[in-house]
Amino acid sequence: MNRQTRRYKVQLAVIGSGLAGFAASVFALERGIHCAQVGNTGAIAYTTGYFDLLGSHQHRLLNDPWAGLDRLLSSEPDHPLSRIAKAEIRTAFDRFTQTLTEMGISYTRAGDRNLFALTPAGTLKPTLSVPMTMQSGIAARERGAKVLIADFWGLQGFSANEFVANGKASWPQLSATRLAFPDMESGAQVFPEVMARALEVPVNRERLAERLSAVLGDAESIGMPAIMGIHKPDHVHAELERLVGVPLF
Amino acid sequence: MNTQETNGVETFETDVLIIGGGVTGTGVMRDLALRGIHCLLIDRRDLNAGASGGNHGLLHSGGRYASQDAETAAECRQEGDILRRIAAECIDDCGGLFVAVEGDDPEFAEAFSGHCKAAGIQCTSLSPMEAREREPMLSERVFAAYAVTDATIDPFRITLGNVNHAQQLTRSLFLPHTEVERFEIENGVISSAWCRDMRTGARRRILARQVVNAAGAWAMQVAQLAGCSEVRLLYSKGTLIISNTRIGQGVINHLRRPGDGDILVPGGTVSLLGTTSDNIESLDDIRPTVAEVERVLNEGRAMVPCLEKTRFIRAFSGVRPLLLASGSGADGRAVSRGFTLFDHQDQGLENFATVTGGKLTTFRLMAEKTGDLVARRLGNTQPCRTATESLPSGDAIRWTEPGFAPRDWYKRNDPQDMILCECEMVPQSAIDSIVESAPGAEQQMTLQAIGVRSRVGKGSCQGSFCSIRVTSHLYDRGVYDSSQGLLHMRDFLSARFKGVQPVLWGEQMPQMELSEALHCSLMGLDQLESQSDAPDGIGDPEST
Amino acid sequence: MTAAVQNSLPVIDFKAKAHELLPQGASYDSCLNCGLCSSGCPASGLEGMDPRRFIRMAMLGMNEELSSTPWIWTCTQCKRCMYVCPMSIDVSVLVGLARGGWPVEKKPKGIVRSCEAQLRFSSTSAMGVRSEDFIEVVEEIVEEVREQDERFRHIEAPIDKQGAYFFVNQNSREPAVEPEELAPLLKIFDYVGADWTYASKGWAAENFCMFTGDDAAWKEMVKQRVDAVNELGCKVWVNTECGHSFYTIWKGIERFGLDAHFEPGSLVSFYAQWIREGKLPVNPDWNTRGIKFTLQDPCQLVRKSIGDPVADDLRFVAKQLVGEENFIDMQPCRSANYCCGGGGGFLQAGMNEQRHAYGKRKFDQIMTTQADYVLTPCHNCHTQMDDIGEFFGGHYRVIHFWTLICLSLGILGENERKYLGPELADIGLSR
Ligand SMILES: Cc1cc2nc3c(=O)[nH]c(=O)nc-3n(C[C@H](O)[C@H](O)[C@H](O)COP(=O)(O)OP(=O)(O)OC[C@H]3O[C@@H](n4cnc5c(N)ncnc54)[C@H](O)[C@@H]3O)c2cc1C
Ligand code: SF4
Ligand code: SF4
Ligand code: SF4
Repeated sequence: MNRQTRRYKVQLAVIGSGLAGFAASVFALERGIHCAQVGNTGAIAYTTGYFDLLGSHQHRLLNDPWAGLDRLLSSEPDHPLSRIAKAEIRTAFDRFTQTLTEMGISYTRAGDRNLFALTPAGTLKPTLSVPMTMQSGIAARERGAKVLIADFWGLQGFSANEFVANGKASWPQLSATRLAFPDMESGAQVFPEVMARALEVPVNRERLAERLSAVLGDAESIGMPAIMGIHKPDHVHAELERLVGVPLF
Repeated sequence: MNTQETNGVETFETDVLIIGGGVTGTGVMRDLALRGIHCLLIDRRDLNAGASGGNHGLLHSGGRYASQDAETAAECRQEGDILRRIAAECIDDCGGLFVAVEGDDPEFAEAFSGHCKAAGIQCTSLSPMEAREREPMLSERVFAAYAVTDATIDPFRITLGNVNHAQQLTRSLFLPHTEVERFEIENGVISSAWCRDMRTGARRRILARQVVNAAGAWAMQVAQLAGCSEVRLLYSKGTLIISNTRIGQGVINHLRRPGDGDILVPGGTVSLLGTTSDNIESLDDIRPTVAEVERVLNEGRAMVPCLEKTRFIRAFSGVRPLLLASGSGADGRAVSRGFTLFDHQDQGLENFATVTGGKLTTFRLMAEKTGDLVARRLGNTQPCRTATESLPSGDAIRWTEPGFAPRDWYKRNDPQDMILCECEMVPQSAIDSIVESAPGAEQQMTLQAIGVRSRVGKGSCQGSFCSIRVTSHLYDRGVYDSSQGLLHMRDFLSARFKGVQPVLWGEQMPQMELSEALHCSLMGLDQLESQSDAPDGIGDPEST
Repeated sequence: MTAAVQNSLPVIDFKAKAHELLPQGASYDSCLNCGLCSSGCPASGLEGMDPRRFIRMAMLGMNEELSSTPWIWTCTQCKRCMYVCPMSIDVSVLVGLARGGWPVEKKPKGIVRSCEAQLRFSSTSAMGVRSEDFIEVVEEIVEEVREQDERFRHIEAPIDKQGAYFFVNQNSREPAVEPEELAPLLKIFDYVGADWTYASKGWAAENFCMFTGDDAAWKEMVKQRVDAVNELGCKVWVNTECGHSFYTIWKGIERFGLDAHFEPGSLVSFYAQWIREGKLPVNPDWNTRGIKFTLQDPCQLVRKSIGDPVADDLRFVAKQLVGEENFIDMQPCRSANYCCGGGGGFLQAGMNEQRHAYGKRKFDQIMTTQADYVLTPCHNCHTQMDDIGEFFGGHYRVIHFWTLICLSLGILGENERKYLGPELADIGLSR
């Protein structure tokens, strides 16, 4: 049997569809280089969404990752990060998060200090840039705001109780609640990917927003597992916030 | 039993204190309880934290010892028959083969069936073709093969069953993470045992009429606490590796003088290959090494070449206590060449006994002999009943059997009963029953303790996913209510990783990369303030 | 979970079989248990199962359960799980194996009957359309087109034309229930001056035998068609816009090592080629109201067969037809697209409740685009998306490419607009 094969003529072939491959394509396209990228599912499918630079050095947490880079340079001159100029790292970070922002997945701009992002367990993790959808959570913690954490029937591996139990020492104004996700009320297993996609549909957002509003009480903000959209998270996030009337993360 | 607290020291009273929660210690517990005697069992870590949780799980037909030690061989055969009757649920009667491959001593192989016959062990000669029909992945280079009645036994189920039954019979009690530190001896009698709670540091005092030292490889140390120097042990470390899936139908033994990597034993849904045998000086920090794993693999490949490409998920090590000299005194003589029971009469102690050595296969017999001694000393005339009385099952002790949880879950057909461990398919309901009523269940039960009582963390992901899910579930149930839960999770993962490290190649590599991403990048576990309760580095409860 | 099928079914040793079936290097043993497959599988949760669970149960030796779970008829064998799996693990192989293990009398009747019908006549039609009836219907339609439209006064639909470039397989649905839908494609062939032929033997495109898990029947079906094409000496085999028909030949030839003297081609790729060559001068000028369109990538054609190159063609054609600004992709799409839930014989299996649950994901995807129309070159997708649209209260319509091509060219007859809405009822009508 003959089967046609297609040939693509490009200037650059990027092999690998992880973060590095993706970034390579982005930077190439910016320079007007015609490229094709190949690869299959890899680690990127499991990523957290945070962009770390340097969170700790020799078992010490770092507030200032840039200063940390200096220390890294002296302790580990061969570390990949020791081989790149700081200015270049900064530019690359900015360009990359800029691209994502243009795609509807906004990121906070890499600053001078690490952010202490919230993990699903309610602990903190130093990182440099987080999706905008998570940003209000970081701010709420810094203020010690009164925040409600919601989890969902059937969603495994995220427990609002756990978040609160671990977070409450430094953030006493936390409380937990459990909701049923629209059309996933049976209590059977639900997947975050499916919830996130469902929220891309306006009517599902409205129904979830009603349920969130019903439990809001006097909380200033609500935190949830990472289910606010997947293709257009910025849009989903903004719409949900508009419907509920308080910051969400 | 009375417990009371004075000056912050909890005091327990019992007929018999048993030290060591392995198959032997728990066997003694059940044996005595069947005679109506109350026992208190303690372990410095948990059930099966020693050799009982670090072995092949092979119920020896006796074939292995037939050529050198006919007595042990016969003992294995007899005990095997008894266990098949009283603990059928814990046994997979899968049969076994002894095979010799090119390069092995043909004379040794030739003599095998004669030796078996002499020890009364059933043994059928097979052609290499017939052997390969039974086990298709056997090497083409097999030149001699015999079928024997090897089986496998789940030591966790046995231990849990023993404790569970003793609790039911005489309300006997098991205290985990309780280490004996000191004995008070008055007039040739141990009047109390002083212990420390390894988690909280709290001190405990135990008043017992009799004390049994079943501390396995640690038996020498415990005996020395009572001033008994005649228990002299040599430590032999053995390392095994676990494959991701079951490799053969039955047990495959290398037909030659015992050496490294010469037994491949199925364990439900996985297989275990081992073991090495190296004398070591100290019991601290027992962990498998890359070199040991390589040795085991190299040898194993001679029998089963596909081991070359097999995915291994973990290695683990156990320590066999070897008796240096037999005991003394009328009752203290070696009961058999496999194990030894010391009555310590010579040392002037009336209420102390040590039992160590032996095999998993012969634990019941060890317990019987010990039980006879202790009962007699207590003036109890009840006979031993463990050879006839079946080991009862129970709700909270069924979860160590591979494949049981998923079958049970599938049958119950409850969509809300979520699977928490996907590799081994352990549902929420199993975890709930363990936390509520498994032997050793307590407030804030650790993931490690749950792992000992179930298949959680035993699959290919080695706890990557289930640790997160089970922890979340326990927070949900209110079992955990502080950051302690996360620390338990981290300890559990570190313990698992110790075993994964030496087999990190091939397919287990991406698995662990993923695990690191989850636990460090996502959960930030590497940044948790360390408040680990892990004492020294002794082997964590391991299981297949 | 509904109770597994009563009475014991033959038990398959999945682990052992998997080792035989899988290509070198692929193995269920390498599964990371990460759950990406399950998270992206619309059949997850049905009958208490999902793809990861299926693999684990196979590795745990739960052969009885797997041999009897009805879930295998809800998995459409769309291979999305494999596509997202970092270890490229293919659950659908095991599902096919399990399907094959069910005794014929227990398999879903709809699928079995369709396969039996195909095996009965040389037409290979699942709807039992015999060759003589087919030829008659085609002749009638040709007659009608000639009468209705001046421009097609000389249109032909050759049958058994020796040495024609294209061998065209026809899905039975049109000749059986909506013969007027045959016309647009005939017009397109005529418009571009294609050298093509239908055949009197093996002309039907569908293959339900593949879905029964009966490999021998699948092979038989493909063989009959391959022989028919070889006999006529055609260069390229194409089928009408139907996903699984393409896959069944494309994959079947390779799987059964058949000797095919031709190349299986996708009709959509030829649309694209003809548009590029100027032979099919379509444009979106008719779309003055900015009607929005989205596109369903049939998994059988895209993910399971040709891959993203044909997804590119689909988009090229769609955009040329409706205007770039009126085209909105579903997410995810192309090779990562979700199956609609009509495939794998699901539409014929009589498990409507499960099929709707499966289709909810597709429905949400379509609703997110807010498109008025869904274009798709697949009959099963078409029927399923229509059905879930009705079931969940969607307002979109589903159409074939040929309808829109003819609409754009101004050659779509009045009676060929069954699937168009009233707003398009009179656009491009020449008389
Ligand atoms: C690598 C290896 C492979 C083996 N394979 C097989 C096999 O296939 N078949 C077979 O029949 N046998 C096998 N054996 C032998 C068998 O596993 C052992 O004989 C049996 O498990 C010993 O049980 P035990 O209860 O005497 O000791 P252990 O299981 O070691 O129990 C001793 C317990 O005492 C506790 N302890 C120690 N000190 C103190 C203290 N101060 N206070 C409180 N508690 C304390 C420890 O934590 C431990 O839990 C194998 C052994 C090894 C090492
Ligand atoms: S996606 Fe692949 S590796 Fe992950 S659970 Fe599914 S089959 Fe296993
Ligand atoms: S083939 Fe499709 S339906 Fe079947 S398990 Fe995979 S993703 Fe699900
Ligand atoms: S019906 Fe459509 S979407 Fe589903 S399997 Fe077939 S081609 Fe794929």
